[in-house]
Amino acid sequence: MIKLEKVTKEFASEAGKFTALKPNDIHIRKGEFIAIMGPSGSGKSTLLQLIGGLDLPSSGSITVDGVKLNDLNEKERTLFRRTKVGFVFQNYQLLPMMTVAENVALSLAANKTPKAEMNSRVISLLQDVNLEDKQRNFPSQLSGGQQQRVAIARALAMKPRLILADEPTGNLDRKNGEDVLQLLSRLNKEEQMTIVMVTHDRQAAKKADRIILIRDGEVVQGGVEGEDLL
Amino acid sequence: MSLWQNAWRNLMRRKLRTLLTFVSIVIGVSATFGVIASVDTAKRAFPLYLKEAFGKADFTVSGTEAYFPEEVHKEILNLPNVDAVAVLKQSARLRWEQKGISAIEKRVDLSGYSNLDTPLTAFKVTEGNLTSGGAVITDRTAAVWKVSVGDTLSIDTDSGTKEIKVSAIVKYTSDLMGPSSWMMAKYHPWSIAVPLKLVQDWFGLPGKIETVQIKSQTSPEAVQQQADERIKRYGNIYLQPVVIDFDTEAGGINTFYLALYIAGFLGIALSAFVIFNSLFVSIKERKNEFAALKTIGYTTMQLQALVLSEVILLAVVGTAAGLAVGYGFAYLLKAVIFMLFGLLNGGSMLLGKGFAVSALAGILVPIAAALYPIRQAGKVSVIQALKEDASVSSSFKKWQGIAGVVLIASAFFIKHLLLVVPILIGVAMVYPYLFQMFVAMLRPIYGSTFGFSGKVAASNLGRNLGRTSMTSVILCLGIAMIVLMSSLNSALVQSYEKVIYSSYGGNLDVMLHHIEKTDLEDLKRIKGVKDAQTYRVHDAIWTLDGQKRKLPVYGVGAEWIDRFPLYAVTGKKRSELIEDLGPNEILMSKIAYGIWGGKVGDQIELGTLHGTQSFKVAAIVQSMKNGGYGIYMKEDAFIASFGPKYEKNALVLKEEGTSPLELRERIFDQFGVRIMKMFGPEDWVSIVGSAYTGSFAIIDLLIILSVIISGIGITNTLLMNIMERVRELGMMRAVGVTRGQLIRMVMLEGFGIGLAATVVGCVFGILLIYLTSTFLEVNSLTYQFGIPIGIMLIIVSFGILISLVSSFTPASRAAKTRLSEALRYE
Repeated sequence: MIKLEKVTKEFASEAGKFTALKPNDIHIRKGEFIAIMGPSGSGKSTLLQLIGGLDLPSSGSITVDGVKLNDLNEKERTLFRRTKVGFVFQNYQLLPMMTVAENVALSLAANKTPKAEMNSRVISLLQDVNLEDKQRNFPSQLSGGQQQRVAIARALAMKPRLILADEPTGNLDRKNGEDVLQLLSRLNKEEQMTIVMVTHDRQAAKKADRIILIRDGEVVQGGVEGEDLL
Repeated sequence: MSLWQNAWRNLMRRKLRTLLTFVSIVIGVSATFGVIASVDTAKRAFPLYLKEAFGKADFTVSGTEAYFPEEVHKEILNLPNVDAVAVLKQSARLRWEQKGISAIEKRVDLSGYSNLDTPLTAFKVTEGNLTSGGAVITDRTAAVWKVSVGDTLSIDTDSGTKEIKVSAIVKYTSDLMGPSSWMMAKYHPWSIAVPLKLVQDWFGLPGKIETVQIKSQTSPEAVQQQADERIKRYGNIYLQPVVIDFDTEAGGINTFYLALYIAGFLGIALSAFVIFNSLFVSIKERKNEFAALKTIGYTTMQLQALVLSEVILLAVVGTAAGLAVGYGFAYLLKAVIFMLFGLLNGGSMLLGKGFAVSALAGILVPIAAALYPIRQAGKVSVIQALKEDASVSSSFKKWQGIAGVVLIASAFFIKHLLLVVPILIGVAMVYPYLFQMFVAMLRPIYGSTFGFSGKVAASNLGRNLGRTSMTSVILCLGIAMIVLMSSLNSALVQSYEKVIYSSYGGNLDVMLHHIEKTDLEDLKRIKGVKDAQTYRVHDAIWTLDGQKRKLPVYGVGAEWIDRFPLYAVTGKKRSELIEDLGPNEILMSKIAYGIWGGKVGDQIELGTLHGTQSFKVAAIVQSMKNGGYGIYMKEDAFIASFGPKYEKNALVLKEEGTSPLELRERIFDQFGVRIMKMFGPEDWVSIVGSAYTGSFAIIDLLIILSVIISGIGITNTLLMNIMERVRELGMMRAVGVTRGQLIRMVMLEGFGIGLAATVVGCVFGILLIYLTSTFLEVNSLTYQFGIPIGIMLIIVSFGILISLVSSFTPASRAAKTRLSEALRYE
């Protein structure tokens, strides 16, 4: 499903060049639930962004679901994200001026999905995350856990095969965090979705099939199957 | 690090925002400086110019016959402490061998002066001298003719072709007014000053003169008495004081100055809005910084000083640049004002007041606009600031809306152009509510027309309502003012045109030196002339507020006034009004009536042949004949009181299909150099039209500058919105929203701000047109309420264009948001 070969990422800053990721090889199978762990600033989020096509590597190649991201232009990467990837963020990133239903429909609307189809998809997604009764609410009227579930519903809108979650439980209490992890687990198990989750939380990471450990931009363990910490 | 260094660094953190705020200060300061300095200079120059142009003499001696003996001049010269010059004017034709120049373009007025070098002529020589007996022409004429001192001019007179060398070129002066090009010479003759003797010889008028101009070196009263005694002996000669018609010459200029001030005020007020907006957001986004500073012991005062130092730094730099730009702007404005009102030389600029006011405004207005944001900076709560994602609610205070409505309503009772001030403030206060309503209406339209981008844009317009509506109201006020000024311009010009054509007395007014018995019949026989009528006019002297003024009196015949209308009335025939007049009764034009200040039935006193005489004002009529300043009386009563035994003017009606220029050319072919002046209603329309259009163009330019400030405001606000929503934008891009959709979204936000401003601005602009149409009189002329659709369409397009242009930079910036950085904000 995901193949990173000798991938590096450098950023230019006023202080000079900064290497966020050193040459790394990572292989992730279809349907795997992966947790990426490592200390702050180790390059976890950068890795997730590269897999999601939010940014391009400085060198090396990334292939996701048979698509070589290095070969895509800006527009093609946008369409790739829209159709193949679902993102879940630590701060949920819901649009505060839009209702729950409108937030979930965001990528469907951007994809010009017909209204009727969009509505039924949104209702079905909200049922999946147990929030069908909240569709007219605004994000500010929901709890953190509920907001994250809306964000997951939004990520699933275009039926992606890959979910990229950046600290999805980072802002949640234990109970709500557990609910969100259950949801991700269910999607992985029942829908065979590939899930890559960045987390600091060892308990959360235990839900994954494999843990990739990163330190100072380098994958130190779990890059390929059989090397993981579990 | 010093306070100022810190301020500078903070300003440089948001370079584009700082630049835009700086530009708005520069525009505001330069508009204020430009307006005050140019208006001050024009105000000082106008009376000086009029005095120089028309008031060099204290008295003139004229005759009831066309000419009188030159001895009169000599008699007056014998008086002590007196300068006097005798003048004889005749029309001639240039002998000019150049292809494509018609006979009518060669008309030239020859003014014979007994002395060319006196304080009464006051020619300012640029080349040559005034004493060698040659011709004197202005620099403007010399440039068109391409002649210089020493060149010979050939002039056709009744007694053959005469030649004269150019002996002096002088600065353009009202005594030697002439056209600015050969093309304009079709409408106005050239002017040359020559020694009196030459005109007398060339035109067979030995010993004859037309007027004597007198200037007293001491007391005018004493000279008047002595001169009166001397000329009495000659009979049919009378002395008139020279009075300057400030009313007719400067008519409407004060309204124009006021409109300029309002436009300048708008510039600085809108700058204040932009500064407030920009600082308000800057403080909001630095809340965490302020909270952190508080935790390490910064006091409220210290935090406020931090922000104040930024404002002062920006204001000082902006004001300095604004003053430099404003200096150039003031010169430009002055040049345009002088050109519009025909001022020739205004001397140096009056910069003091403009400099002081705009410098103070440039420093104090930003500080005043920043007071509230500064206060907010000091009040930052550490706990609140550290709470992430604290929701921002923008609620408007009810009293604000009510006060706004009251202010707008109060404008209905203000019968002065200053009513725009409460209206504009009122609009600013009720605008948030109107904007909310507008956004609610826009939401479904945006959603169905622009899909995803439209839907999100409409939702975004409802966020940060305070900031967004404040940005929008800036443009709205500018639009309302442009609507008012542009409509006023077109409505006034149209009203003038209507009155001019209905009261000019025909299609052409031909002025000969004097009309002889057969002239009227000759005129009627000219091809293209449908009818013609001679009439009498005389400049009488009246005293108003202790000052002597000139008042043109027209002798009107009841039998011809309906065919040759010199005034307009409603409900009665023009001839009936004249027939009803008693011997000592007059009709007064609305403009003269406005200046006089009396009422119908009152008496006015006019200087006549028999001394001062009282006349009863029987009715008021509307007229724009020769500026619309005059009175009308029965012909026989006119002759009895004012005496000229000959007529000079003839009104001409043209046949259908004859053009005004053809008519002029044919009449010129018939009467040639005997014609002193030919003036038609279209000349007045063009003079009035260009003066008003020019005046309004200056005001519009100032308002357009304000609208540009509004555009800056829109850019600023959108940039702030984008910066605040950078994570949202990142998320949108992450879930598959394309750059194009993001650009459309931001452009539609800007478009929405601009559209709301344009629609509401046009509505209030129309209200302003209506309110001003109920009372505003410029030169005693009111105008009809009407909505000029063409102008509105242009303004709407302009408003929309400004909003789209202003949205472009923020939109492309939003699209260029680096996703990895945007999402790293976490």
